[in-house]
Amino acid sequence: MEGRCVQDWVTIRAGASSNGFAVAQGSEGWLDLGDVEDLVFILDVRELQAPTVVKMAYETSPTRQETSFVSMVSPFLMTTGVRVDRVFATYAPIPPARYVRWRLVPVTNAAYDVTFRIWVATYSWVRSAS
Amino acid sequence: MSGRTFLCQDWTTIRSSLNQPFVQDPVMWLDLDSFGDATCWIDVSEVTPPAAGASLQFAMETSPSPDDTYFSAMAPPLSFGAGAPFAQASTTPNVIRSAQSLTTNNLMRYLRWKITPSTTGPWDLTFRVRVVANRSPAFVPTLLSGCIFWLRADIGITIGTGSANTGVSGWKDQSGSGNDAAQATPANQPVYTPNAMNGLPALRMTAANAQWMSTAAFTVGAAATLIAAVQPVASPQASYARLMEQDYSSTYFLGCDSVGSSYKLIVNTNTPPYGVAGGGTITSGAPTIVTGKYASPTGSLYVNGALVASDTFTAPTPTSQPLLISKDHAAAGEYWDGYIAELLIYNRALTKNEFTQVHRYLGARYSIVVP
Repeated sequence: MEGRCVQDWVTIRAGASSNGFAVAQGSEGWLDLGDVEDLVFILDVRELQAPTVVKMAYETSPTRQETSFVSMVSPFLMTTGVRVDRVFATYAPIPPARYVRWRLVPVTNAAYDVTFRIWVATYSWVRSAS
Repeated sequence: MSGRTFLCQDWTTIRSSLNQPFVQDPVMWLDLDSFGDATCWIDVSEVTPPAAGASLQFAMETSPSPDDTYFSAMAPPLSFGAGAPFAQASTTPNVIRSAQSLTTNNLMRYLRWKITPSTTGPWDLTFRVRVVANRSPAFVPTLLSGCIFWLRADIGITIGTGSANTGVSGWKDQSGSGNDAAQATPANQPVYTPNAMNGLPALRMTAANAQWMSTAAFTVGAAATLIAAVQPVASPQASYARLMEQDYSSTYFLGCDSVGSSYKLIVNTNTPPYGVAGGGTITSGAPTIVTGKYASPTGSLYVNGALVASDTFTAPTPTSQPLLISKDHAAAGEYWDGYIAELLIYNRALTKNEFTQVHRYLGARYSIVVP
């Protein structure tokens, strides 16, 4: 098992005039998983304005092609505090591919801001299913 | 690509008027020896089906040897065409994974693509296939013994004429037991709904339209585990609304309680209130896993993998009976109002580890947090 910081503390703020555009993590921060198959995401949200406006998504892709990223878990509304999401290759319909990133997906066209950090515990190759 | 990611097929267009399969050239087949499974990322930028209402079946096939004879579908084929239930060209990749059912297998070393038109006519398909290989094989419910009934809305659906050709007339059992569900009457056919639960399809059962399905008679054992992945659309539901039932008074019932606000398991009980194995809250719009497990003398009800109630029941005497989905076994009424995505029956009580495996499988598919 290895712990990796996907995103150090950051605040993302969008005004109502942002027209509901999604904000994806910059490509230099994308995680290159290599041989990792199982992931546990730890999302720590310390501040959140307009909690019903934006969802967090964890996306993966086999290549660094922007349009190729797909959510591994259903995008979710955030709350302040720590949230844990597990993506195990054995069970996941979309298991982790090579690259992983976060993406903020607005639900409505309104202002929001959120301060968060994401860590991920990574597990290599085959493990017991149970 | 490198590591465990592979380019199986770069962008290409296949065009034909022939009603015959097209298979990838053997030079390009992937040899994934030492891997346990594969996830296929299929980009389709353009599709022209051979005729209106017809489709192109796109399958990823696998074989333990490069002999053409042994290739079979690794995952449920994608069906490209115009209108539901067919997939469309999209800027988002179609991601498919193996699923061990009647027609699919886990990875068996070699992997290739195959296109099969459903009829004669000019067709073409522009696509790319990338593959991410896994060491861990995908879990599927049939890996556990005793699975006698497995319906999932993304495989084995037959579209009928109900609800403007979105009604479901057939739902094929993936357990290998042949316990297929059917509804011949168009007005009573549930509606096939793409992207219903976490992006996966489900069948919409509308109580007001009396939509339901049933199987031929089959026998569920004196011990059993019944599991349903559902999403209510109304709360409360009808009194004793059914998810699935053979006969509450002699075998099994999984559904709602008398006021339709909680889930309930009934085993071989003919006297109101039919035991007290009821609990959990029916929440409209919430994907939910409802599980009833019986091992004499205890019947337990779980919601999203957590125990919510249990009671003692007299063990049923296994008898062959039809299974009703979303309807009272004996009379019209008591319909489920919501989506049903997946149903499972095991002919035994699952162990704790097995129980966890099935719930993690369903939780991952329908974005439900389970223990």
